[in-house]
Amino acid sequence: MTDTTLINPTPVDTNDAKEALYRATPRQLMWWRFRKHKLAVISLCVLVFAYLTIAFAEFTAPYDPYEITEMATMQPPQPVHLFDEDWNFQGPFVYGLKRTRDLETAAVIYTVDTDEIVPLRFFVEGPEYLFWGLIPGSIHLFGAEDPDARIYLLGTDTLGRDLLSRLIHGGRTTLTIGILGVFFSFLIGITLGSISGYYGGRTDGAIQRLMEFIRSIPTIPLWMGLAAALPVEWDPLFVYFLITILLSLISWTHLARTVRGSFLSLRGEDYVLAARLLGASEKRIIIKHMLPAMTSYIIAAVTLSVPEMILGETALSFLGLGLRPPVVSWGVLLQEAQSLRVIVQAPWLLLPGLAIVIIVLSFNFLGDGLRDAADPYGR
Amino acid sequence: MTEDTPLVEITDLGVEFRLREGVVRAVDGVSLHVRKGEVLGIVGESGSGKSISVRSIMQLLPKTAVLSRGSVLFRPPGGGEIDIAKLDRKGRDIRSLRGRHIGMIFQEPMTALSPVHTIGHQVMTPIRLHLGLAKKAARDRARELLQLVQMPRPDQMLDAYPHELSGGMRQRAMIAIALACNPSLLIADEPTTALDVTTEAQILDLLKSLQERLGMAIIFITHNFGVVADIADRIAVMYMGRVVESGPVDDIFESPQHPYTRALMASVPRLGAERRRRLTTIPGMVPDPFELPRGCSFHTRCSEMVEGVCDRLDAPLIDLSGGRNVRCHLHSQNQTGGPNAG
Amino acid sequence: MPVEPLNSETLFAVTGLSKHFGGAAKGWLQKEKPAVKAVNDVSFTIARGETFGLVGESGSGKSTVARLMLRAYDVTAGSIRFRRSDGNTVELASAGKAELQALRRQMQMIFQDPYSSLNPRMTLLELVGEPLLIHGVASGSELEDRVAELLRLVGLRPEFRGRYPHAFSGGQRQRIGIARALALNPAFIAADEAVSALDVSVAAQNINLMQDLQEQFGLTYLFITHDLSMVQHISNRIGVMYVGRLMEVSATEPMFAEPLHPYTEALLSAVPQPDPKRNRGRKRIMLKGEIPDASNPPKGCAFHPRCPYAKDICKAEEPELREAKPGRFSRCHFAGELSLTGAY
Repeated sequence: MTDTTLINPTPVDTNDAKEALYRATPRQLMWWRFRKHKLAVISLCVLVFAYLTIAFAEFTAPYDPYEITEMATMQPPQPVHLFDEDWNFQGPFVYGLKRTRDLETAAVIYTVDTDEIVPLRFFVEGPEYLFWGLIPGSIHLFGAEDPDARIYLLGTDTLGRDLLSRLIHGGRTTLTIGILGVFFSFLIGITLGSISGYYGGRTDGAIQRLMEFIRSIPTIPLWMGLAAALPVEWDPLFVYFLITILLSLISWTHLARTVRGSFLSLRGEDYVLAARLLGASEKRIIIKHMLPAMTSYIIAAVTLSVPEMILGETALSFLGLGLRPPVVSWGVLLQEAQSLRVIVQAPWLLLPGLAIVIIVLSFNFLGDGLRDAADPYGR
Repeated sequence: MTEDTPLVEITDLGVEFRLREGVVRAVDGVSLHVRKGEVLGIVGESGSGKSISVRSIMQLLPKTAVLSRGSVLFRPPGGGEIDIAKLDRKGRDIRSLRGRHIGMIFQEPMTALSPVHTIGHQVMTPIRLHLGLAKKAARDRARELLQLVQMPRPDQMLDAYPHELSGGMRQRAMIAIALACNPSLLIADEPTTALDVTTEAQILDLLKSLQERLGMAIIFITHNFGVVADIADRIAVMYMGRVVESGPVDDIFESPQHPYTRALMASVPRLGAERRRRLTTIPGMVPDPFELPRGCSFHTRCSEMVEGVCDRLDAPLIDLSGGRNVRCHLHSQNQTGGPNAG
Repeated sequence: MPVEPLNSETLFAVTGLSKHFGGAAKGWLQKEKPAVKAVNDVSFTIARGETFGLVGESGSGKSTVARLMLRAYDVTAGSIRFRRSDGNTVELASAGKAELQALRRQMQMIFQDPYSSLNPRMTLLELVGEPLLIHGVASGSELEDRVAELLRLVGLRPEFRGRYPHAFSGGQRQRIGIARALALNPAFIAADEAVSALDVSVAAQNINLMQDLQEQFGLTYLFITHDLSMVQHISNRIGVMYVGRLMEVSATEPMFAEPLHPYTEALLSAVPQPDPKRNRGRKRIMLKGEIPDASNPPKGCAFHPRCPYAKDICKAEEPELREAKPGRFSRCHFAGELSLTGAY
């Protein structure tokens, strides 16, 4: 008797909980399943944070990414402190740096000056900007109290530009290329994939062969050829747009394959046949029965192909074939960190690489989580 | 070991699945035994725990399952006694039993056979592993085995891959692998369920003739009363993780004692029987395994339920004469006067 | 094209029906595959209000026949005549899209797999209400009432209509499928292995339900199964299929008493009986070999390599399905001449 009560401790409210489960919509079931995937949830948070940051880049970045400070070239990162050397609470602050020159080699040397405390303040007045090129403003998320003082949390590059600001503005380019590029390849992929999967036969054969052809082209030489065809004098923004289209022209095949595959497998489902035998029109079958089952897979596939785009942009720009300065992107930032001398003297310039790794991993984990949650009815 | 000492003796076996949603007692106090050279049939609907109880003999339980109590005594022909329930499920001891003394065949041979190895290779593996035969000798033995299971063109089949075989031939290959080391016990988990009737008849016939020739014991799991009537010497009927009735096959088919057995037998249409307008059904549904009813787990669907007894107290296991057992309150009341079977 | 009308007792008349899958190269740069003759020259009739059982082993083409009759597939050859509720006879094999669309209201299907045949993303209301919506029969609160009535009819509580299929057991899902099939008041329902995936006690409940509904609505069933005991219980007449061919068609009792085709005899003999004593006394016919591949059937009679009575003529000539006894058809050269054992 006693052990029976141990096994079913809550016979009263289980029915409500069960009824909720019975009435759970597909979206709820997917969310419940997704929530169990801890890594995916964390990745989702990371990505939301990253995209919010770049969406408000002018505000979140403390300085203009192009502002050159000759007296602060290759300055190392200044870590944030809360307590000074005597353990007195000061609020967030950084120590000032003293710039000297090695008398023998004439190299610039920075030393930490623990006497000079530069306090950090939130929502401070800083350099003026045009938010999204439209709205003028001068408030920044954080910065030094004194509008003329400069703090470099991630250090500066060879021209004395703030790396953090460049990272945030570069992220805007790189991360939107990822999304935009995927959007284009999604358009091409879903159109050709569904035509291929739905009509089958000769059309399917032709599209399949085209996809195989595109997949067999070695990508880097193709990029090089196409990039070389883009005139140097074109507007960087236009080049940026062309690069995304370029990337999506190559990567749509993966999505098309996913769409075609799910079309084919869904066509064979009994419930699709059942709908057909009920007299449902092709349109109704596609909209009511096939698309809802496919969207989750497509979202997962799209998520998993964003990193491909990001890496593509990075690789192109790193090789000097993609975006070129003055446009900032993570690939451009990495290109600037190409020389051995720079890496030895200013290793923090490799930080954009770390940012890429984090973003790419997050997209992959998120995609995995979505894929697992995509079919909550799998048994 | 005398003739009557069981080859396998399961006593008060309990297997639980500890899931997020609660605990499922898939097997709850099952006791079974199989004597040497005997065919024990286990019948039950899905979720009755028939497969799980028998898989614990091989320690082949799913990862989430826990063998919570009871013992599984196995007495290999060389003498001695092993409690399989106490063995490590991945250990050396259980592996030396599997395939050597206990063979197993499954419902879907395609999932049990390796798609990338030839049939010959797969039949030879247990022979070389357990009997230590050289390659040449093992191949000869494999050919013999394929002949034994009446595989057509055994020489060619040694080098064939599973996908080249039909369902019936794959099941024959599975049987050859299971019998490779002359096991004293063969476990057959719904081996004919996925097969067509005529192929099923062939496989049942084969199993019967092999059992006669080799003298191994068989535990045969099925949901089909026809199949169990055809092959078993003794049968055990399971419902919700318990054996509700067991005994010699003829007696149980002639006079089933448990209301569940009776109802189940009546709900199957019989070939050649007089046509009835309606099939007899068991009212209600199989209970939720997370919330088994109190008392006898069948009382919610039982037509002979005694209020105040069946819905409160666990049904006791009653020994009837002639090696029969039944787990039902109706028999405990009439134990002295004999069952009032309907 | 004029269609020969059916008499008022006949609902379906299938004549010389064939379906071949594959064959010619399907597309550009694709390789040619041998044609699978899934259904070959099948002829039978179904009377109004009866249950016609179609039995056969896997690959016999019994499901394909049902799907052809409902025109889920295009017909390769042959005719399928159907008597509409208005008394006119239509030819389904050549019916156009619009004509079929209207006819779908009169014939429905119940599927084998209660899991895959219901869209998991739709509630009971949407699932059972879909046919009503498609044909514009009901909408809004009228639709809800009709769905509630249908659910009650198959023994499910109307309050369940907001639930999704994952809330139900296999047997209950099968009932949802039955409710959906009944929604448009069809005259004909094809049940493709409708209870094969269910446990015996649940299968019995659903079989009884199907029989009750048949009585209540005067339904005609095509009951496809591999379970001979079940087909005997439910059918008035039975067709036995083997490798795409109809081997025997006959009323149930005479077929089980005295089969006219050796394959029917072998099938009946192969079924294990829930009667241990009788099993021991019975001598079963063990067929040699395996079911042939439908893409490469043997010459002559498809059953001859396994037939215990095969003669030379069986290897050379394929027999026709002919009326061997009044109302009983067999595709055997020796139909009526052999003395075959039944199940009684």
